[in-house]
Amino acid sequence: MKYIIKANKVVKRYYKHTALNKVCVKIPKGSIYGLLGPNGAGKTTLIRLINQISKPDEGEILFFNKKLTKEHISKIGYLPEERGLYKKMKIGEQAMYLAQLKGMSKTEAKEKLTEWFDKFDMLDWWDSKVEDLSKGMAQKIQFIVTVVHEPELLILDEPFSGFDPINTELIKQEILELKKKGTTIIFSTHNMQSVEEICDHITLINQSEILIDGPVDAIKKQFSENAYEIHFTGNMISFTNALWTGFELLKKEEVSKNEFKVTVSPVGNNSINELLGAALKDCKIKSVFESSAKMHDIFIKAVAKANEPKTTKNIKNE
Amino acid sequence: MNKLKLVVKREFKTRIQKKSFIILSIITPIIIAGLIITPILIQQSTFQQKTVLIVDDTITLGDIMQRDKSTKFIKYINMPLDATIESVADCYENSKDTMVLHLNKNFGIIKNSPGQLYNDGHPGPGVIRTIKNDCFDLFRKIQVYQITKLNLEKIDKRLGNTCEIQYEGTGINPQVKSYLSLAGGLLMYLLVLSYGVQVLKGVQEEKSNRIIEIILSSIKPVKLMWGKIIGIGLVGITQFIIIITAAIVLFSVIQSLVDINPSALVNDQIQMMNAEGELVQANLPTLSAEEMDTLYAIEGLKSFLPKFLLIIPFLFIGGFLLYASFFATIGSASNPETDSQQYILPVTVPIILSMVIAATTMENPNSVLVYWTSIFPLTSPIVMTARLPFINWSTEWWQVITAIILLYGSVLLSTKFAAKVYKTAILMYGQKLSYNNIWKWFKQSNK
Repeated sequence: MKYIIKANKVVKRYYKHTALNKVCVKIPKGSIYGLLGPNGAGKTTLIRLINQISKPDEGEILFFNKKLTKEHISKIGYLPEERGLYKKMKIGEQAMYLAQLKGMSKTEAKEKLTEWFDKFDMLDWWDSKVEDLSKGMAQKIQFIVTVVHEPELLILDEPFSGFDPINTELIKQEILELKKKGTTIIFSTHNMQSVEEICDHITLINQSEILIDGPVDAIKKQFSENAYEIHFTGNMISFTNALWTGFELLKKEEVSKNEFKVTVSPVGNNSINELLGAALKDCKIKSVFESSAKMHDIFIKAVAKANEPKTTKNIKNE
Repeated sequence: MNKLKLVVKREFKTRIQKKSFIILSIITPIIIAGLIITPILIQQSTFQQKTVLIVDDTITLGDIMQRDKSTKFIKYINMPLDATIESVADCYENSKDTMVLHLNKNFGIIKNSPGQLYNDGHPGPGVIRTIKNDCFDLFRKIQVYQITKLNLEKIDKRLGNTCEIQYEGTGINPQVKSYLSLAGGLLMYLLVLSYGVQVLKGVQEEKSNRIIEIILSSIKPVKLMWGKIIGIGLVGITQFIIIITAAIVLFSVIQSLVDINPSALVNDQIQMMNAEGELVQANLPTLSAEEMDTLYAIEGLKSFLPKFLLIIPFLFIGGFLLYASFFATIGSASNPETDSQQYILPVTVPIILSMVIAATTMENPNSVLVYWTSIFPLTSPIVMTARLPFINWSTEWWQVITAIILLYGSVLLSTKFAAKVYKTAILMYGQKLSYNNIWKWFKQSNK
């Protein structure tokens, strides 16, 4: 596999705090790569290192196996989580400025920006000031200036924050479109649902170190609990009676009167068919599917597990 | 396009298009003129006319002073030739507003022969200076036309020795020197302070509206800082050029309006005493005292302006860079949510102090305080500007050069420091502005 970014044992320290500790990451070309982790884990630090905003204290970061240089700046597009624009500057002028800073020529910038503004229905706003824009519109401009120079690597930090569902969908489609064209995307977010929807790979960083790393499907499999979700109407007691076939009840949710959603897990090698056979006598089964681990749960579980020994140790020390 | 150029262009363009820039370009000269004129007006409005009785042993000055120099502030009355100082003192009761001026016969001709002013109360330095200036001007007027028409420098050198008034060299009317000093100092003060603060605001703006992270993914922090400083500095220089050009245009207009041809007007013959005590014929122009003043001022300015225009840009650029680097340091280290006022104060204090000292320069250009502060880098941009009209270029040029060398040495250090702090601090949001943190960030970028 071809990797666009390889981070080898990268260490970054700020004064007395270590923000990244021997982090290794490999980002496959053409993938959408989820960068996850709790606040303060080191995601932004890693992103800044890839963007050459700061330099690693140890280790190295390679772009297609070559050490990062300033020539790579124009090949990367970055949409930071905390993003702003010059409020008093005209939008068009500002977009031109940012595009030229990324190495585009004036004519090229003008041409591409006009295309993007037109696509996002913002051409009429070219001469307005940023302070006249709604938050969503400003976000669109920021997205445009991130992608206008057609970077090979796109780094998006919470790209959907501040967007309504319609614009979120619009941006999501644009991201998928860019992926189709071969752009690699690093996607940093706390929104686990969008991770499940669009990411191929993820890395979970916690306390400056990597916790989980790999393709989404494999990770989900690794964390799956061999459980089934059953949606039925009928008597809960009768359903519980059916559990003698060798299942244990993990979760129960009463949807309405005599309507339930439950999660069950087989004890040993029992087949789900036996449980369903027993339950069907008194209950009407509406749906059954194998429950796979949710990104949300994986995140919480993994982080909690990683923090566990430390917490106990701390308590002991106290 | 070069990225540094792009940043400079943006910083320059966005500011020069602002209404405030145009307004400031018009208002600054008005403010400066107002600040100079107001105290004079206040002084004049509370001024009681003084009467000066002249006992004139020179035979020359008394009459002309009475005729040409009497104003609504000072009225000169020449006493009869046979009057002695005692008889005048007896005849007129001395009061605060009446005084007696005794000019002995060598006054203005040989050294150490000062005139005496008698008054019950102290008339105040302003009055004494005015009387001195009046005497000086008259002597000069006489000598100018007698010897070499408008060869002012030569005459001033001679007069400087004999007239007991220590105005040296450049030939600018002392009053014009004072105004130039104050105007120059004020202009420098306004430019350094306002453009320095613009650097602070510019850096704070980028940090607080969070565009900084987007920009830093395209350009190195130090380049961005320099782009901002250079861009804003160019706006300052543009404004400076506008103001100076306006002043020069105004100056030329006045000159063309005055348009006095001195030689054609010499028709008034007077007698005056030469160094040997003999009476000789002298030509005196029929110009009014005000016309003569303007003429002198124009001649003086003509010789001073080139030096002024040569030195001032060095002082402005140096002063701006020095303070801009301080302001950039604080701007990058400040936290958008907290107040940075108390950290800005230590930077603005030397600027304000410089102006206070510069204002004293017109009264006392040779004081020790003015001397040292015109060389010390934190104060030199403003104080040296105010001192420039009083500099004796043949003996004191090295002080100007030293001040400039020290200033640029400091700029080198301060911009290096600023760049190091800026690099780290500009992306720090969680931490508050403090000297400790500034030092910490400086050390961190030294790693």
